[in-house]
Amino acid sequence: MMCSVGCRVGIYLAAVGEAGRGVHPVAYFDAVFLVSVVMGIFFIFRRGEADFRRSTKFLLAGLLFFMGIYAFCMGMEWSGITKSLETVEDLVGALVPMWWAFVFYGFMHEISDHDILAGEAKYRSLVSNIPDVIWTADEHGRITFVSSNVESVYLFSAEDICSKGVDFLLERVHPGEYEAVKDAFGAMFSDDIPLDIEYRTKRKDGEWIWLHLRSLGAYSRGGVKYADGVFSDITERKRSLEDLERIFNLSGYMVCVADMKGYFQKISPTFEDVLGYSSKELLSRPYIDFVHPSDRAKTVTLVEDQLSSGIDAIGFENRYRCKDGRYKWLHWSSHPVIEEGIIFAIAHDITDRKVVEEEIRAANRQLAASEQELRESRHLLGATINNSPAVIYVKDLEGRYLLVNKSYEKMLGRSSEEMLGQSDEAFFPKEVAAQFRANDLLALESDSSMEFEEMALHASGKMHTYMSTKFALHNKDGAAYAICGISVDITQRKRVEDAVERIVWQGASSLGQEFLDGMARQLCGVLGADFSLIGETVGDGHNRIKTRSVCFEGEIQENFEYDLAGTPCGDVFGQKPCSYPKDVCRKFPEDELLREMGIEGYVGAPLFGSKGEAIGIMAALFRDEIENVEFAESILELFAGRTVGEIIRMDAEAAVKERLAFETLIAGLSGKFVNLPSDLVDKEIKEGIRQIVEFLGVDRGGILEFSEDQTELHTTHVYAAAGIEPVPTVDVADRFPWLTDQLRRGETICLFRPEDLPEEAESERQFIREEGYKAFLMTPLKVGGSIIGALTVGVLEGERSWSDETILRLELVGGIFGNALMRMRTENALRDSEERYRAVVEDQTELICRNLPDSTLTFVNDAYCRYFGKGREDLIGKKFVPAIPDEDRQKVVDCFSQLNRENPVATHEHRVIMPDGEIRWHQWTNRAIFDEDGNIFEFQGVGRDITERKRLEDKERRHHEQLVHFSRLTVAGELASGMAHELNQPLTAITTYAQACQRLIDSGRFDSAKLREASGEIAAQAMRGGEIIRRMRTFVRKQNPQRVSIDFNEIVREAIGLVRMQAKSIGVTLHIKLCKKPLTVFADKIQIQQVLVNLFQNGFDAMSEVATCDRALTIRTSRTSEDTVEIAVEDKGVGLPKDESNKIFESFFTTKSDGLGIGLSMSRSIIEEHGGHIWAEPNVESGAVFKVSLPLGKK
Amino acid sequence: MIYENEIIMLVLGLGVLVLALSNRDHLKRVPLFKVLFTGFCILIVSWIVTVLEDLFPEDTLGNSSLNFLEHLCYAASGLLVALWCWLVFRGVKEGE
Repeated sequence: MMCSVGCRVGIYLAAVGEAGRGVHPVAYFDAVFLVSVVMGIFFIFRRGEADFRRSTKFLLAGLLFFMGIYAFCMGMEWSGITKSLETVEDLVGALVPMWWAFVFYGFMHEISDHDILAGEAKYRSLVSNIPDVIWTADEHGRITFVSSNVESVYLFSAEDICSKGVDFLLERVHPGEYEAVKDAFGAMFSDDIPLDIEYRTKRKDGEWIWLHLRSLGAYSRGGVKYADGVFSDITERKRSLEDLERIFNLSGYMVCVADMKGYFQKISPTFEDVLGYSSKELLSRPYIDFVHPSDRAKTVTLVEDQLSSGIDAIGFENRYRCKDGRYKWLHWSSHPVIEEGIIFAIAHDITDRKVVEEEIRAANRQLAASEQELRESRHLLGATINNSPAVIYVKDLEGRYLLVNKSYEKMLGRSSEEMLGQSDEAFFPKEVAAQFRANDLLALESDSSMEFEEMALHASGKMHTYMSTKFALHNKDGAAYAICGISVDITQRKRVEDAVERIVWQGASSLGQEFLDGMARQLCGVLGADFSLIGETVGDGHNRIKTRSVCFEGEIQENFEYDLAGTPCGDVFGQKPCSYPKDVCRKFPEDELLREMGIEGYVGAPLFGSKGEAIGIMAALFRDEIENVEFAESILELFAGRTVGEIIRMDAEAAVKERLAFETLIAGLSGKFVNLPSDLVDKEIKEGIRQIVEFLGVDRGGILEFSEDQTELHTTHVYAAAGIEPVPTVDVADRFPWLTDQLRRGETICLFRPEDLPEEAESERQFIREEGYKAFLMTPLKVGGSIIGALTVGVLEGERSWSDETILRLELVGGIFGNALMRMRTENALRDSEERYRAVVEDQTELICRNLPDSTLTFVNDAYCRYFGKGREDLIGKKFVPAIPDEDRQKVVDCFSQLNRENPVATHEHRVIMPDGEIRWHQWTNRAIFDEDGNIFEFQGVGRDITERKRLEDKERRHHEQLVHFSRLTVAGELASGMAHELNQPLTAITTYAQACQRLIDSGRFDSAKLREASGEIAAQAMRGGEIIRRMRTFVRKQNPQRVSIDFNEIVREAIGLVRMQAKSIGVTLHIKLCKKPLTVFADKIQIQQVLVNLFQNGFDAMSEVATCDRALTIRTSRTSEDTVEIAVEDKGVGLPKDESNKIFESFFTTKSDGLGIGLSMSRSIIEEHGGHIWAEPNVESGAVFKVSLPLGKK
Repeated sequence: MIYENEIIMLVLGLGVLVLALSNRDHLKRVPLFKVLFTGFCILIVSWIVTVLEDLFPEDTLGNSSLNFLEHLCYAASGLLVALWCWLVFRGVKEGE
């Protein structure tokens, strides 16, 4: 082809050359152009140095070819050879720029491919040179790529792994990590969670290696999820770490790595073993937190100094807190690595060493302290032995004294120098010494201490009793080498025990006075006293003693009384035990009894009651000086304690007996007054006063009573003991104002002597003195909070104290008397009241009765008996219902049953069948009587005979009905012309239809259909006429009023029907506006229609003077309230008469020339009978409005 | 007289020029692209001159001179393309 092109170009050039001189100059340029492109094609295919693709070369060659064709065509034209190539030139000329575009596109495509190839080569090189294995897998478990170095890890080729997929690699994962790897791989695809996990896997040769698998997560490509990642062999690193960890963990030391912030980064398990914390707890808190507070500053300073000075290693000790709260001593060696910001440290527990050191120091201190204690103990023992009141001694095995204390020296009256080395024979009688020796030997033979009661002569010359505790002393070999004895003087204790025994014996063997006598006797015996007494205080001032028992030289003496003043008993009474060992007569010169009896010593103890009050004394008197005063006082206190108990018991016993007697008295009085008739009350009260006077042992008693208005106070009951004059009856309120005032205020007046009265009670004092009262007690009689009088008692001889109990008892009796008096007063008042009410009831002309709910009569008054002509006994207990006719009976029963607390009274009327069979009318007003629970238990009725009134009412009603009927007839008369006109219409129609029938029959055209139609019309019109007549007949018919439930609109419509023709005839337009809802009323239809027709006709009459075109009557019904229906009849007439509009409803008042004046009055009467109202008011424009309202309801 | 084919040729040529300029970052990587692109640009000039030539009546100086210039540009363009082919396929690199 090249040759061919070259030939053609050559021909052309030859032609140009041959053309010579006739060639256009531009043809030469075309020739150059042609030659150039031919050369270009030559270079393209001749030289192959350029790294262009074959397609690009052909594109370039194509461009040059078309440019050559173009040049050739232009050359042929401009050389003048031919112009026939012009079309080719144009075509090729358009191809040239397009081909340039192809060439540029080819270049760009080739450059892009070159770039991709270069990039691919680069990444391939990168992948090949990365030590980690790069992989790509999809969600279906296919491995789409794995770098070739995978073979160095798994020993499987990349092709093998790609062909076997992810499952193959998962199967080789160590079972311990299999689930974790599988889950992580799945989560990477399902949840886009990056993969980063270390695990063991088995290589092709069966060896386990550690791999670190990583991926940034999955991505989608072509609807499939892929993930790229790497894994690397970390077996060597793992092994190194395991070795390091093993060393770290197996080290017996506490090895740790800490950071510069003061936290442990890693700790060996020994930390947990030693301190008890978990590694998590230790790593989560600064390590200084675990250091003992006292060691923290030192530890921080040491670590900071080491870090600042750069010292490689330091050692120190501090205490660490264990989890159980204890502290352990640790010795630390720390090595900071400042460049890495960490500190290596090793610690070991030195607590045991520290404890041992501390124990040694403590033992040394304790040894020194023990030596000191021993010295002090020796000194203390010596002081204790010598200062002990007990006799202490030590004898050797032969009975010679080795040690005696000061008490022993005092007991024998010898010094220790005299006693040491001597045996008991040197100091005690032979028998006593032998007994001591025998006891010593018994103690020696025994392993434990033994007690012996021993008696010995005291230095004072008296025999003392000792309780000796003896025991053997042993040397370090356990052999006894001495006997130690400790003897305590129990002489006094023995005597106390003796006294207690006597007291117990006396208490067990006797009671009451015998006990007291026995105690007085025993007191003398125990204390060796010559005289003993037990006394009890008497009198209000507690200044005298009355003896309860007196013993003199073992004999019980007669009791006596004496004043406490000037006696040693005065110092004892109410205070504390008191003793005068000697010279008691000289100390109390006023006490003649002491002097007469020759008493030298005195010891006494007070007696106190159960509430701590002083009640008496107990004393022992001696003719000689008292030797042991303390002992005597303690013995006396023992006796006094027991004696008080018996006295209290005796007093309580007496009080119980007295109370029993009083309560018996009270019970008797109460029982007597419970059902006592009022006329016997006075007598029994007087008897009661007598009993009280005798019980209290007083001289006089009486009762004062206030009058009803409390202004007067009189003596009503008095009693005086035998031989005593009764107190005179006086007007107390006038004469003794102070006393009366005290009583009104409810005060109890308690006098021990007349002088106790206040100054303002002068008249009372004078009276008491005149009457000879020594003591006086007055308590108010209180009944239900009010004071009706007073109960008084008085004493004429001697002093008398009024105890609280006496006052209380008198108040109780007063209460009984007061209640009895009040009951008597009430009964009297009740009786008077009953008399009054009886007179009121019995004198009534009304019938009064009471009956039970079943109509049984429980009370009837005289009028009732007279009315029925029966005795009370014939009526009481009988039922009254049978006397009521059957038709009224249910009404009466209903009337009673509707009574309740809210509506206790009701009135009803009914007929009664008299005993002679006559029927009479009664009106009864009944009241229900309720019990405390609110239930009706009885009815009270007041009745009267209303037969005459009923008869008059009936007569009046009949007159009224006649009047109503008359009025209706009057209205009907006025309706007659309208009705006639109305009747005329159906009659005319009937006539017409009848004539038509006749004509049909006469014509011989017997059309049965037309005849049937005409006859049907005749029947219908006849019915219509009949209906008009029936309506009128119903309206005018005289009949008894009969109320029924009916729609008010229906009544109105029928009433309108009655006047419609009349209205038409006089040119009145009816405007009817009825309520669309039914308005049910309970009414007599005819009477209401009568009212309405009357109102309509009044409206027509009122408009007779008005122009025909203006005559209009508006009838409007409506519901004006929940329970009221109203009809308004509005006319356009002359309106209501001025100043007389209120008279239009009066009878016989009329404004019409021919009116009777009964229409509206009758209407009002009818409407009011139906419970409604009728009234008139001016119309807004002209005329009047008559309104009627009726109650809604079915009955 | 303006010839339609010349206008089409010019429009296509300018379009290719725009294409080449917009992808010049890529095309710069073609060896000795400046030489080749210069040849293309001279060819564009020749087409512009061809169109301008038609604005002058025939046998006028303007027409003749522009026609002369047109063919001169053809020849120069062809020479530069041939030169580029010679240099590139001979293995000469940029800057040599």
